[in-house]
Amino acid sequence: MNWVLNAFIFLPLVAALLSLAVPKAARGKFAVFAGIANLAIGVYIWLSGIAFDKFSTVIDWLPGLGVKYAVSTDGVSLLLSLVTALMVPIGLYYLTSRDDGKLSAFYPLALAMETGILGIFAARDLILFYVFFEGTLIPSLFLLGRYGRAARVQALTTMALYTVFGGLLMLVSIIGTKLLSGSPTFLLEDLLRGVRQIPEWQQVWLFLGFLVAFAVKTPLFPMHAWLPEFHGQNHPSGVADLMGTLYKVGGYGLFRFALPLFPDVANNYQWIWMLLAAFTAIYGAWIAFAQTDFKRLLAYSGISHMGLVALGVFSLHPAGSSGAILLLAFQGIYSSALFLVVGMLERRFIVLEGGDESKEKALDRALEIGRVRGLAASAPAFAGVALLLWFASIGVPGLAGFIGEYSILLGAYQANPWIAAIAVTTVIASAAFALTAYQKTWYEEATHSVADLSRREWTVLVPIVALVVLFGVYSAPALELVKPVVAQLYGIVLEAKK
Amino acid sequence: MVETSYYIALAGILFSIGAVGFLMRRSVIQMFLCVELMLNSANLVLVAFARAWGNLEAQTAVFIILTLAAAEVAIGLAIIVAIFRKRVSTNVDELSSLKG
Amino acid sequence: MIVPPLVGWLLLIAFGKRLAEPTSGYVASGMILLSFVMAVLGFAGTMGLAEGKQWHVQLWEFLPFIGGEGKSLHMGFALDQLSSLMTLIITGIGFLIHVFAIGYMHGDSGFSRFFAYLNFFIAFMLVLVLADSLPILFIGWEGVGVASFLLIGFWYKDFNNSNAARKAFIVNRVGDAFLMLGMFLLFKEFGTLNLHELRESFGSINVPLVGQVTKNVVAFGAPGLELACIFLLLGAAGKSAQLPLSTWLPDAMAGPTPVSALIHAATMVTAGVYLVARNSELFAHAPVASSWVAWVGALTAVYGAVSAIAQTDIKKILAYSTVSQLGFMFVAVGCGAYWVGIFHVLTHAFFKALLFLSSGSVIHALEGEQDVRKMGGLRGALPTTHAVSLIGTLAIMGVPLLSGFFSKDAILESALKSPFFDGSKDAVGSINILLFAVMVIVATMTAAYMWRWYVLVFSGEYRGNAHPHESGAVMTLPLMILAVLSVIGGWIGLPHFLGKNANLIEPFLEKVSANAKGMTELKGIVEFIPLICSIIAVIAGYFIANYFYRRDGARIMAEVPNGFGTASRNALFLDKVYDFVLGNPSRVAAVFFGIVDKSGVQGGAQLLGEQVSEAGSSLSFWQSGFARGYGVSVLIGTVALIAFLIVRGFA
Repeated sequence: MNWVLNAFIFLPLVAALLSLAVPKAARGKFAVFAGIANLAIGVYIWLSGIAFDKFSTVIDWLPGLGVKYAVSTDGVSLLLSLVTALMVPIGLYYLTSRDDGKLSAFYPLALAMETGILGIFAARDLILFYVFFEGTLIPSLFLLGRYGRAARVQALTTMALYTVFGGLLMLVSIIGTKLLSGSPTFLLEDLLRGVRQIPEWQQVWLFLGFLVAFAVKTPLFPMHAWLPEFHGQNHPSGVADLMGTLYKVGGYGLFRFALPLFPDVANNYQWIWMLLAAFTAIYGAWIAFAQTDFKRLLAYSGISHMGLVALGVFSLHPAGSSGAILLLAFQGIYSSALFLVVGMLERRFIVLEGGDESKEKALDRALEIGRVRGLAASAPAFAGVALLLWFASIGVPGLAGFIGEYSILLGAYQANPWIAAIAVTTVIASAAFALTAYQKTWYEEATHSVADLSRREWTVLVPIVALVVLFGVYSAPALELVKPVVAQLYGIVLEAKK
Repeated sequence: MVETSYYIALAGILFSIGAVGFLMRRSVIQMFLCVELMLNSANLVLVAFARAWGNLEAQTAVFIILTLAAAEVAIGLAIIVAIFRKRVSTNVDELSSLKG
Repeated sequence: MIVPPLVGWLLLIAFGKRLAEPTSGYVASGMILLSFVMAVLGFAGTMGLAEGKQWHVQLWEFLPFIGGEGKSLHMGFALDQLSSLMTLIITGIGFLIHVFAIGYMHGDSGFSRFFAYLNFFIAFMLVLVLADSLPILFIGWEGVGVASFLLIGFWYKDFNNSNAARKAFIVNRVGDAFLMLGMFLLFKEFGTLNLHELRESFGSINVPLVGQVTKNVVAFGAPGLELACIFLLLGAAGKSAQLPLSTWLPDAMAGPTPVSALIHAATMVTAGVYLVARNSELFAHAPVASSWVAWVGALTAVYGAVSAIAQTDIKKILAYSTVSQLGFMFVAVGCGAYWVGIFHVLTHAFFKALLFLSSGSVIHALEGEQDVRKMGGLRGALPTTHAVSLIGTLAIMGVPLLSGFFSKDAILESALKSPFFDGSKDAVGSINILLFAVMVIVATMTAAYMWRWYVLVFSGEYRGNAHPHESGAVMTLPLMILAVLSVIGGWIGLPHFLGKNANLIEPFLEKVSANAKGMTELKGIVEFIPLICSIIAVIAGYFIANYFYRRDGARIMAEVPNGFGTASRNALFLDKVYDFVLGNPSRVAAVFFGIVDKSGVQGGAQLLGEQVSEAGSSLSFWQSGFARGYGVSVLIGTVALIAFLIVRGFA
């Protein structure tokens, strides 16, 4: 047992509990500090080399049921965890600038969510994974319910309904997998040993259980309906959306559990899964084109990204799979940052929406694309940063989004050219909606004049921009993390093909 | 030595009194006492069988239950006092605001 | 070589505001000059490189599992004859245009920003030509697209400018999507995307025997190769504004004129030609795809020329002319004459940059006037500009001994000689003759519309009301240098009948590009047919333009709108057709899907939720709130449980 990884996972939760004892005024600073300390632990793990096995912990949890507390990390888990650990303090730091005294519960909830997400990436026991997977839902629902906008209850209900429903199906599948495979525990490695004996028709059903759960969280068409509502109704600062973006772990779940457990099913019906994913990608991008609300636009663009991630995973090609993980990790940086940018815009626009209307209506109008135009004239640096993030998001090479997107599409093409061709059209559609929204906001005749980036906003965006450019050009460190894991998975898939 | 069946019978009587009292009384305090009565009748059964089988485990269980019951009583009474302060009544039929 | 412009870009982005106006221009130009010096050194180095050799650096891992055999693709750059020639064009002409822009952009509020973008562009253009693999090339490919977006939308406050920028980027992305498909297919067929390895896949470098399917190609699947080449063609068409993706280039003239000269005439748009020439080995083995390249080029050349004839914007005439000239280059590379395509890239870069900068000088002198109907007679007011423009016009028309003459002649010749049609080694095929005839007609039209351009701008009487004045030395000096290059630039590619060693560029480039060996040999008098035809075309074009336009200004202003003129002015309505066929339906579909998504998918979920909660509420009477009621429930439950156990038996 090694305490480092456990500390990495649970430090945010402990900090969340401790922060309840901290005076409200200092709570934000405390939370940011805790987040940074946690990032430091993550970086320590990263720097201590490629032999991540030494950080594993396996102890009995519910011995009668064969449930163990098993956490470990590898390149893929660590990459995604690092992104999470990085973005949480950045988001919370930005939140402190918007603290109007009512946000004191936001920090502990966000930190609790961080623990949940890190736990998801580290869990190596399926029940433990399920606990983290569903447990993270609680703080995220609280964030939405407490800090959301007027129609939040509906959004909350939708989200809870979808995720709990999907999660239960997964639980059934997890239990079924253990029973049918005759494995003594719920450990992933034990299950992997026995799972090949299960007859194929049963495997199909178990796989579908996992698929539905992950399709909800990814989200994939047609399980995506909760996401636009979730983002549309969340706190206008965008920090809650950031947490939500990090929580889109469906692609990871497919990669880590569904594929290695059921390589035959993934392989035999590959075109169905790929078509579903490719359709999600193009569907999301297309709908985004018609959106008039910043956050809903970003939500649909996220759906499109996640379609690509799933496509990469289902491509069963090493390039596609590693591309999927890289896209998942990097979109956690730039998509989250775009939500923060929207938060910064909202803060500027809400001032412009005076009058005696209700606050909610003013908020609606502040988030409407194209109401305020020509910002590049008064806020050139902000415009530049926003453009860079948009370009990263539509996969312009030289920025972080490209690496994943290109590898995914290449991998998918090797598996099925026609479906890949459908997905490639996303490249065009995403450029169309992103640039249209960008032009309507930043270019054209200036309707209003707003302040450029403040010092605090610079502090928030500079590390993000630096990473987006750095990994877009020098992607080697990320590749080093992902490649061995993918090679191992690909070994499993190849073995199954024989 | 008294036969086990007498203990069981006594416990049954105590439990019935408790159950009937819980259903008939309206005062929260009285209902609370009835619940305690039922709990203790169960304890009695445990002790009686423990003696009959010569098994100490059940005896320890009773001690644990007793301590837990004490804690529960403390909290329960506190809640009742809080309700009484707020509602100026201990009639359970008036406390139906949690209706679904 | 890439580093200086990148440094310049970073410097200007970071400190642009603090630098005084000319300083940032000097910084930017200095960086390009530095690159140019490196490019010259590199060129000198590659002169001595043997066939099939290149200077190659590989840096870090970049893309996972895409390097072949499970390895990663590395970030890497390579310098050989072809790329070193391109770097010379890019940095050399880039430097001149930078210098010109110092004068042209004088007084603009975004002065530093402008030079930052220009440096950014040069950096990515260099990435494009120096890349050692297709994905790295793609970085540069999209990077220059981004630069083009930024520069077209440089004056973003104007709605039309920002629209043009967006359109350019999106249309380019259509091409990029095909380029990606092409890369994916090549990876599938060959298992590598490294340019050198792709080339080596065909064995030694000059092996191709076009017309015969070699053993290798069968192994890799010839139809796959053809398809991949067609994908590459469509990708190249996006960047090089070929049909059907040509509509963005004329709109791109919304950017400042030095941008039009640098990006949309001299360098970026020729990337498509470079792509085909770079992959010449593939195209040489794909006769069908190659003939497509040629025909796309020919049709685009016709389209550009027809559209250029009746334009009234000084820059749009040149823009359509660029479209048309790019068509010429595609014909060359599509005919298997890869060196000819690059040769025309070179000469076109000289004279088109010259023409654009001259028109920039004119616009500058007329304080922003771009309508040729309000110009005329500027010969007197702008003597230097007039002189260099005349040289540029004559060069693009193809007047003998100027640069355009030699390259255009070589293209016409290659159309006759191409082995990709029905020609054989000894006889010219009928389709070759058809292609040749089309290109001769386009050459005639080129001469006609360019002379029209010259007549409308410089001769006759002045029809506007500004006060033209000649530009300063910082602007005219680059013009003069380009004019000299436009004159002598063609002399490195003299035709064969002038002597065996007269052509310098062909042997130089053939070390890296395929040589389509099935070329028809032209003998005797036939060898001079292209030459004669191209001279006739120049003369005919000159007289046509003179006949129609060398008249008084009033007639030109009142040009009667007829069918041909309207079609030409609207560029054959291609924009409107696209908007009608593609733009509107996809917008409508987007809205439609949005509604379906909201009411259908989400509404379905809503309905499900309502049903579930209704079922739940029917049971909610049970939770009455009466504690004693719950007590009864518990009692009943207990009794029922015990009863069940009794009935079933306790065991």
